[in-house]
Amino acid sequence: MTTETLLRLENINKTFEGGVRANRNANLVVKKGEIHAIVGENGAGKSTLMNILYGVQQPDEGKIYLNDKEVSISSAREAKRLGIGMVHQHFMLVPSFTVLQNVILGYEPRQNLVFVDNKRAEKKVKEICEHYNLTIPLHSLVQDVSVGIQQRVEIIKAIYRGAEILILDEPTAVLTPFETEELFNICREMVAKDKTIIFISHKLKEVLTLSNKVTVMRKGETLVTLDTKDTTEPELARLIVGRDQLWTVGKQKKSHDQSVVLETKNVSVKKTFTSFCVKNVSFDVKAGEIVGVAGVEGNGQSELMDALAGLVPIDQGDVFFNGSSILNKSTSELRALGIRLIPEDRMATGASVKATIKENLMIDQNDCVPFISKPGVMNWKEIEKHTDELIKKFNIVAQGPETVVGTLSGGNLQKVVVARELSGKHTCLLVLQPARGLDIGASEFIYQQLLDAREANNAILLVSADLDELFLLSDRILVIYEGEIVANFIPDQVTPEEVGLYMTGAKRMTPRIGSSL
Amino acid sequence: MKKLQKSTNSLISIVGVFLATMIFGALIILMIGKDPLLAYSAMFSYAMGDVSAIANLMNRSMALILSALCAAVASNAGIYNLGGKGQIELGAIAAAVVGYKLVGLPLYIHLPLCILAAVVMGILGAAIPGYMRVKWKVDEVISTIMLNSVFFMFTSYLANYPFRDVTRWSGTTPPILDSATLPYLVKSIDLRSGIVFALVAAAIIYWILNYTNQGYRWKMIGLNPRFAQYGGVNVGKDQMKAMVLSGFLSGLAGAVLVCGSNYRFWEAIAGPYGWDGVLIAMLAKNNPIAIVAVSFVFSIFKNGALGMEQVASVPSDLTGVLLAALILFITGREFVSILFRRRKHVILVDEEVKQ
Repeated sequence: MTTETLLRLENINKTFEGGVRANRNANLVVKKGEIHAIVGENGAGKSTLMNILYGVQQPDEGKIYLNDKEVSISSAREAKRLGIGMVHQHFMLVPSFTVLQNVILGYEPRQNLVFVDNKRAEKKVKEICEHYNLTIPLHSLVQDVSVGIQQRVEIIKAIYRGAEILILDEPTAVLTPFETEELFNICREMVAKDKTIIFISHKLKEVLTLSNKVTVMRKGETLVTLDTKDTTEPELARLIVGRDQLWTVGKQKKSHDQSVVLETKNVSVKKTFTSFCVKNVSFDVKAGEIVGVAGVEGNGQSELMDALAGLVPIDQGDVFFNGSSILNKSTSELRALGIRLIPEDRMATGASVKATIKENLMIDQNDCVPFISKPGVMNWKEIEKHTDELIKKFNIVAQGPETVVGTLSGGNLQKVVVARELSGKHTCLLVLQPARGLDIGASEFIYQQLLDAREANNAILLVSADLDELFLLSDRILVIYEGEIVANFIPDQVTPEEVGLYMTGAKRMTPRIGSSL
Repeated sequence: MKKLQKSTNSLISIVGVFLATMIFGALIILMIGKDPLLAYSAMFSYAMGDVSAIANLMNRSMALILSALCAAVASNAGIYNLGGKGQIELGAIAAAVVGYKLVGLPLYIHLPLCILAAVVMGILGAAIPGYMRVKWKVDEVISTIMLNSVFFMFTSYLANYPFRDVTRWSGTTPPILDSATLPYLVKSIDLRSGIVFALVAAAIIYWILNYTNQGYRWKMIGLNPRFAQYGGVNVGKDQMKAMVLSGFLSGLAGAVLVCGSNYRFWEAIAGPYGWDGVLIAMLAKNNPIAIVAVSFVFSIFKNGALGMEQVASVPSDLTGVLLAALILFITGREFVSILFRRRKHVILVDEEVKQ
């Protein structure tokens, strides 16, 4: 590793419309050949700083120096020209193109100035792969390869376009533990060959394993830059949130002789006429218990939850709630029984972003006293009072009941959803990805709400792709793979890595069901 | 209080848009070498210069208001009723037939029967595509538009064959009886109380949309049907109800057209109102009060067109230009207010920084 300074950002300021100051006097020094992690809560300004570096956003003030020369990065294309590449959290790939086509897209080698020179392209991409020890199926369609491979395609794409500095935005959020380990090896390989990596994350363990330097951001400022070897997880956590412990929530041990609240028996849900996305799923959830469902996204967990909440029909099997079948009951009947869903897509399903907070809170109670004064007539005064109370109780940062929900931050939006679901009658919660995209403070608040509901003897089914979350909250963990429950664990008796093996289908406890189901 | 302020604001902006349209139109008239003041004075005097002109204005407005309400109620609930024209015609022929066939009934029985018949037919006309949408997911945009032709042909057949007025050339039913006409508002100018029906309907719809839980559910479905379904709202059932109310309003429009101003069914009686109603509802963003205001402006332009042509020799097609400008300015108003809002934010931020 050399000590030559490659990149310097000085006093970057950026204020968004609406007055959010995303960056205040942010400074960053990156040396050649290092893996530089940037950590901070959501909204700490990490992404904005990186977008400025990548030319997607322009700073209001501040200077960027590359190799000690001041540069102005006016667009992403300019950034690429300067050798800065970025791998976004959501991949920018064409699913129906092959891996090779995706890599060269926009920068194809030409034959006679017109045709794409596929041979030369393949040779060039292969060279890159060999140089960095990457294996990748060049001729498979992107839609057929796993998320981990897709990420690799993005990395190769950036290198192909001449990136010397590679920005990875939350690269491990979508990966299983194994894929994460592979990604880290790739990163190490690349810095060994003189590339520089800027790594954005809020998973501290990963930061500590991978990086050489860590810069902590808080409220738009770059607080401090540390050598990774001189710091510890608690220290970083303290710097990030401004207090000692990362998670102040924790579950109390409970006796498990509670009654079964929710029970599924051989439940299957159809995806198309002939194929199933949920296959023969049987499990139960007891009162006062959080059952976690681990799985890589797209393995049927969303459909399972939607089916349990009455949003999509159950094609085979049966579901029991407190002993009686709730098959074919409508969503409103299930809600009346106390079965409530906190959906994963809070923008599209969990809330109506163009409606106000008070309107969002009334969707399931618009014909309940006291929110109607006479039959059919809304009592807006009472509703506003109720909304004010919930805003206070759930610490929702908003001007008032009339605030349009779409203007709230992700955490506050989720709080609106949770406030609505927990303010009505609830005995069984179906929760999906409750803290996805939320910062530590908001996540913790949501977790505490779930644990309180558990204390109040709710049966909770928690779907998540985040194993830390599942291990923190669950009493039991089920693993779903390709629509089947393939394993179940007690969190204390298993490691996340082991669960990861089941999530990716490498191992299974139950025999495989024939596809003829 | 807030609501009132909102309404005044929107009223002010409607007046502003109206003035902008007039100025734009004046420029066009100047460009074709005519006198805009003369043209406009002719337009206004034709549209509302004397009492009978006012009566015409009211008659056009009442149909436009009801037709626009019909479109607004549906699209507010996320289901589109573009079949207002056909449904109004169904309602109108029902009112006309009941109005001339049933002889010897007193007004207070005969007139309600006419309105009832019209409303039932209107509801039927809207409920068919509504049911197809809710039950079989048949796209209601297409089915309502296509049913316009079906209902036009059907009512045209009825007016030309079974219920034809043999003393006329074609395409009309015989005049309705006096016992089937709406009461007079001002007898001397032949102005009947259809406009009252329209205004009362607008007020009731306003109340339903803003103060009842049905109106709330419709709004939620219109904004995000997935969310409404997830919240336990029976989306299909509520959308069906919206279609029924929408059909009710178009049936009512048919009834006031026949019993309040035409006194008989003419082929394509809803011609000038069906599509203009959809347009007005869009411009007014489904707000019943704005619908009333925009409908009056529309009627002034349409009724005054002939005056412009006769007095100032400005082609009556200029009305089309004026209406197009009106649409641009109304949609432009959104744009301007968005710009304005942005500016305000920037100012706010500056102030914060200074502090």
